[in-house]
Amino acid sequence: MNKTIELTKVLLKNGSSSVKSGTKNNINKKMGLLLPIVVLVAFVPMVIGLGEFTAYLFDGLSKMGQQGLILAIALTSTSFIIFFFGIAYTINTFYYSMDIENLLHLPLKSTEILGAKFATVLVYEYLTEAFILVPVFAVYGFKNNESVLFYLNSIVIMLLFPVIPLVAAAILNMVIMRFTNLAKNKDLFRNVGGVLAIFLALGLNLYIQRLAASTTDPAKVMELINEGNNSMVQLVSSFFPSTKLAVDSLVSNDASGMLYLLMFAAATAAAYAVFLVLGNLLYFKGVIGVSETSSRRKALSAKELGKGTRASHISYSYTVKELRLLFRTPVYFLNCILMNFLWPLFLMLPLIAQPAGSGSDISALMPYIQKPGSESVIVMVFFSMGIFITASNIITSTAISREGRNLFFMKYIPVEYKKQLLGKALSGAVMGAVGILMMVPVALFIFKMKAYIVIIGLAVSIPGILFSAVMGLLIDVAMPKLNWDTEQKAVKQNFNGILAILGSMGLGALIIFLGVKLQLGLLAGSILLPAVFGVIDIVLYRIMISYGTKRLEAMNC
Amino acid sequence: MIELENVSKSYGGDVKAVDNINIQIRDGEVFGFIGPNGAGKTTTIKLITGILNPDSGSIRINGISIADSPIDAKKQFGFVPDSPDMFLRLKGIEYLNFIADIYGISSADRNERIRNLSDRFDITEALGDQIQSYSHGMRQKIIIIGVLIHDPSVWILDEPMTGLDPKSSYTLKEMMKEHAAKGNTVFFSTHILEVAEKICDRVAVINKGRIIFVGTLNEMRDHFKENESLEKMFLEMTDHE
Repeated sequence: MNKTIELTKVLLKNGSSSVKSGTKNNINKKMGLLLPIVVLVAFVPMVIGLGEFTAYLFDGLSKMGQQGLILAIALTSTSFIIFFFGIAYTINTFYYSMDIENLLHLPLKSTEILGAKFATVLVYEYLTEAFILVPVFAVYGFKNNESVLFYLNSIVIMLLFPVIPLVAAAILNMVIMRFTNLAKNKDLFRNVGGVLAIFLALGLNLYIQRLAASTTDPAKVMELINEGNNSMVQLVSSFFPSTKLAVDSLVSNDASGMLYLLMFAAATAAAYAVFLVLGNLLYFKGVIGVSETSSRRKALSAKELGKGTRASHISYSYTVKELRLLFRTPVYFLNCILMNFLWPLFLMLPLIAQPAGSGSDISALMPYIQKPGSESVIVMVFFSMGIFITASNIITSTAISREGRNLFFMKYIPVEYKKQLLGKALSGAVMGAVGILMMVPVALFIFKMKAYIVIIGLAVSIPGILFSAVMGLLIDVAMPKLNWDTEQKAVKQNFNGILAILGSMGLGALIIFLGVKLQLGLLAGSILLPAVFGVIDIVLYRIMISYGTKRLEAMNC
Repeated sequence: MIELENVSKSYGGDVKAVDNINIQIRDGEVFGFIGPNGAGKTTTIKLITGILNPDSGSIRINGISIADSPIDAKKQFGFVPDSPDMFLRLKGIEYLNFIADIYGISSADRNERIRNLSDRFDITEALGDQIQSYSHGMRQKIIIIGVLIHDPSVWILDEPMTGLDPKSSYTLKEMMKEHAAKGNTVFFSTHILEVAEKICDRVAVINKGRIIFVGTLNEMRDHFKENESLEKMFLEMTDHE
């Protein structure tokens, strides 16, 4: 047990080295403090919205004495969220973290390594659940005039709660990894697995959205609950029956509440015990050899060698190198590449999720799109999507961070920093352009836009794409996260990516807002906007190159 | 030729990783850089290659200052870093072709050199596989081939023998001698004294960031008592400080 705790401390310390790159820059220190605040602020609207929604539901449900349902819904959806985040968290910390190979040879039991890794993931899950449960519990407790006991109880519940869904996620991964470890081309297998997981999540998202669309009316909620077989609570409770114990302990104010809490704690302990027992059986078999790769060991033919040794311009070569690494590294593929192809699906999902004829489905949008004079707005939407899609693939906003400890390569090769930065910017822009092109069939066939509008839209989106590509790189070169031990940390747990996405959302919304407000015509919109941004892009690019060169020169690695 | 003049570097704080170093590595010599772990070998090499900036002093490669004309200076040398774990998801051939693009080698030249060198280092059959499937020694070889592909006059190698099998180690040592014999410069760090003894024309010994000896091995022997093993001299020198 002691060893587990010691190891947990080490793992947490290793993981928290965020903006440390030997760059003792004042800007960095300030930004290091500022960024978590920015992110927290970004979540404030969500937290407030959740609180308001809770209050609204409470008012409706308390009339029927059914306010306890709020806790049930909050806890069941939280367990699902924890489960899904847990799949990504556990696979990365349990299997793909670079520290694994340094731990395997130590005289540690698999349960000690697992316990420590589980604890580190648990810490991340606490942060995740807090965003949902804190506002819901607070509003519910206040409205229901709960005593101190309720709040104490809810704190204990929050501490115990993530364990069971996380155990489920970890066991799922351990079983999968035990057998995929047999697969020959592991990278490919992981990419395919990741794609499947995303589709699974999308399907579930669709289901929950459809459900949510009909649960804003408390009367309908009651109906659904009574129906039983189709309700979300029922569905999740059948996955995680223990959630009901947690709800019951919060709802009952007497001794029975205490009893339920004890039962919930016992269930949690039992789940953890099962995790350790199974882990003991599965973990080492899955993790040993996880970094092995398949190889053919077959000499290239003269033709293959000739093809493989064709000379090309360094900027092209550098961009291709970036893209190859992005496509072939599973974590990068899932976070930076795949999304570009899935945008049509993601953007269409909220529309498909609305029940037909509800006033917010596709058919309701059509009149706005077909309306004469809407062309300029459509063009602006294309432009804003260029900004947003390119920023959200986080290719450029993690381009320096992804170099990690190999940043020194950039410094000893005789290629000017501006060419290397260009190669990185281009890799992001290329994938952004792919993302926009994926939207074309949606625009043409689902929204039935006119072809010439779509073509203008594509052309106008180019300065938007370039803007985000350059902006992302500027952010990342200013404060790269170079000290990571798993690729996951270079992209997913990197504030630069979040910052780029939030910024692009704000800018995109502002442009569409201005477009609607100013009522620019098609001609003005499709000439003025790219012209203005063309100039901005050039200035920004120059700034990025000169600042980036200075930063790279100064970086110690 | 590599020249270091009054070069110092500290990583923040008072401890100097490299303390006022002066070395001149001449054309036509294999120059060994010896010292215990943490003596400042890798830091010095990072300073020469432009990965780190010195706090003071100047560094020139073939007379070109790495601070004033970094790109020209970087074109002069080929560098083998101490850790070969780079670009693990590129195939061997893709890595070599990328390097050839960096140094602007013609298609015909790179094709021929890749064929010859991979044959000589016995990794022809692995060129089509991703580098992450390579052993440490094979990764080391692919990086070395990457250096040789652009045929630089100055070679800078950080612990190049680590992980190489005896045959490749021998091949590399022969190549280093051949390269210097043609009037070029070879600078490499090692803590294996036998290697230094076998191929170095001159050596520098570094300890705690300071150069404590520069000269031929014979001079080093003279410097100390005759017939004493290099190892003893080495221990004596590094213990003194």
